[in-house]
Formats: sequence, structure tokens, C-alpha cells
Amino acid sequence: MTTEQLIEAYFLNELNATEVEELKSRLLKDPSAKADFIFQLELSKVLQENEKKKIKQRLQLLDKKDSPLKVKWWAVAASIAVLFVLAWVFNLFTINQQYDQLYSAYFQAYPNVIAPIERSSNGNISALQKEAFQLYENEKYDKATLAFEELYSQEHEEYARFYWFISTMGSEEYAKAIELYKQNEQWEKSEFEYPAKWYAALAYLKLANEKEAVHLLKEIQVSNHALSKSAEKLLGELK
Amino acid sequence: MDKDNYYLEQLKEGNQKVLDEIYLRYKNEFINFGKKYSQDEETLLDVFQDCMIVLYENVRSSKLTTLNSSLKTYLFSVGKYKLYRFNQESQKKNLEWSIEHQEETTHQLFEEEINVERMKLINKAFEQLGKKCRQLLKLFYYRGFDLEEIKEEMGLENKNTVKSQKSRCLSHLRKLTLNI
Repeated sequence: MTTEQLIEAYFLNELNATEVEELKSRLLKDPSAKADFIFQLELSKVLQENEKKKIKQRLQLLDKKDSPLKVKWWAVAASIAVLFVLAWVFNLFTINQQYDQLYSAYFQAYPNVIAPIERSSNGNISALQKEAFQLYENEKYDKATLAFEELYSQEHEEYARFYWFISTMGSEEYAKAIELYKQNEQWEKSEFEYPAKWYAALAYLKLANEKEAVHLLKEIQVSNHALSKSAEKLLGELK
Repeated sequence: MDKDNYYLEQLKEGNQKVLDEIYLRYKNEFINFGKKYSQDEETLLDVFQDCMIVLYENVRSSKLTTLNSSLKTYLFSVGKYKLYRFNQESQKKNLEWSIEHQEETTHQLFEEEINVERMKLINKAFEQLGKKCRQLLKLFYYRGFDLEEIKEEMGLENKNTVKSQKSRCLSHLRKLTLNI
């Protein structure tokens, strides 16, 4: 190989150790070729650095866009969600007091507040996320359960666990839902703490475990969460 | 894994939206993971951004074409290595470190003679080059395209055209650098 070919191959990362040594000894004997080589080396570093900077800026910008918007949307979505639940409570307040009927009265699948956030912040949600929320919104809870389970195993995000839990209730697997609820010791650290408790209380009700249901509802009742009024009303009906 | 391969394909083509998606997908998890090494979230975020850069560059330059593990494992082990280096105390520990995770080129010939001041000049001069030259040089020195691939990408006649254009662009750049 000519020195020129060796240099070309060097930048394509195609040389083995012997060939690199060969190139080195040739360049040491030829200062002008060496200067030329170093110039190319510097150029390649410049191009690398520039691309790095661009990506870094892109990701930093993404963080800025990501956080305030997320909080804002979350707040709006959460208050809508609570209104939604409250409306159900008022409408069905007078229905009789059988656990089953209470359950159906109060159970309303939690709105999808996650996927729209992602959409609005960067125009991108993962295919699996999209699929899971589509199934959920179309009330295909059996399949949604599997999708959120998978999503959770990939991401370990609390929202995925929360919707997995709700989907399980949607597919009428109450005991399993309770199990999922109990498995997670992180609820209290997440924004889903009281919604999760609320749904767990409903699941207990469905399983005719009034004691546990009341226990959870009381916790919600004394909290500052917007669900506390709903909990109070439901507690009133249980008396 | 299929999804990961899709990500690699897209990154290879320079789809930076996918980069955003991967970043948002694993960011929080990485920060939790990194808390073992550093309590400072800013640092962890910074390190994770650097991991994304390593991923992007290795895919773009064809150093990374297939994954031996999941994309997440790849990113996290790059991050773990970076955090190890960041964390003085942990430096003594042995690293499980496969060739796939190397970010430096295998050979480092005359790297110690690189001149930062000259790099700044090259950077300025590069912006003054024509579009075609910039594209060609980027393809070769950043993307690691060989002459044949550049010929295809830029729709040039043959490899010799690429070769002569490349040396023409380089000498033009050198002249520009000297005149700054």
C-alpha cells in the first residue's frame, strides 16, 4: 500500500496493528506527509466535536421542553380526571348499596393522561406505548393488561404499572389487581398514590372485603387529594 | 430486540427524532440507576447525554452495527463506565468491558500532536467550504464512508472522482485555514 492508501485506510479504521506501525514509521520519515496526516486528524476531531455539541444541545433543549410542559399537562389532565370521577359519584349516588353495584357505580377507568403528554411534548411516543393506550382507550382491557405489563417490564415507569393495574381491574381480575397494588411499595412516592388507593379500594369492595376498602378510603378521605370527597361519599354509602 | 434494531437502522440514517425518543425513554431510569455512583442529577443527566452521543456516533460511523444485548443494556453499560471514570473512588474496581463499548478509535496515532488552536481555525475554515466539499469530508472523516460509499451517496461518477474531489477539498480547506 502507498502511504496515501494507508492514511485513507487509517481513517476508515481498517488498519491492523502492524499496518498502523508501518504507517507510523513512514510518517516519521516524511515530515510533510506527517503534517498532512495530523491536519486530517484534526479535521476529523473538529467534525466529531461539532456533531457532539449539536446532539448535546438537542438533548438539553429536549429536557427543557420536556419538564415544564409535563407538569402543566399533568395538572390539567389530573383535574379533568377528578372531575370525571366526581360526576360519576353524583350521578350514581342514589343507586342501591350492594357492593357490586357500588363498584360499577364508582369504577370509571382512569383517563389516559400519559400518551397525550408525550405527544404534545415531542411528537413521539413509542409504538408499544401507543398500542397500550389505544387498547386501553378502546376498553380492550385484556390486551391492554398485557401491553402495559410489557411496557412496565421495559421501562419500569410508575405510569405503566398504574395503567397495568387499572387494566387488570377493567378485565375483571380483581384479586390479581389487588396483588399488583400490594406488590408496589412505590405508590406513595408517585403521583398515582391516591388514584391507586382509590382503585384498590374499589377492587376490595368488589371482593366484598369491606374492611380493607374502608381502610383505604379513609386514607384518601383525610388526604388533600381531590379524590378525598369521592372517598367520603363512598364511605357514607357503606355505613 | 426488533425495536432496538429498528432504532439502530433509524439512527444510522441520521433520524435524530429516534434519538430523542430513546433519550426520553431511558432518561429517568438511568438517573435512578446512576444514583449508586453519583447523587448529583445534573451530573447524571450530563453523563446520560454523553452516552447518547456515544451511541449515535458509533452507529453513524458503523462501529456499532449489531447489539449483543438490548439497547438499554448497551446504554447503561456505557454510562456505568463513564460514571466509574467520573467517580475517583471506584477507579480501582475491575470493569467488565467489551469491545463494543469503546468510544475511542482502536488506534491513536499522533493524537498527542493535535493542536487545539489549529482545530479552531479548521472549524472556521470548514464553514467557508462549499456544500459539496463539506458533505464529502463529513462522509469520509465523520461517518467513515469509504470512497465507493461516498460515490453512491453523492451520485458521483466513479471512485477516482471521489478521490480527486476529496484531495481538492482538503487542500482548499488547508488554504482557508492558513488565511484565517
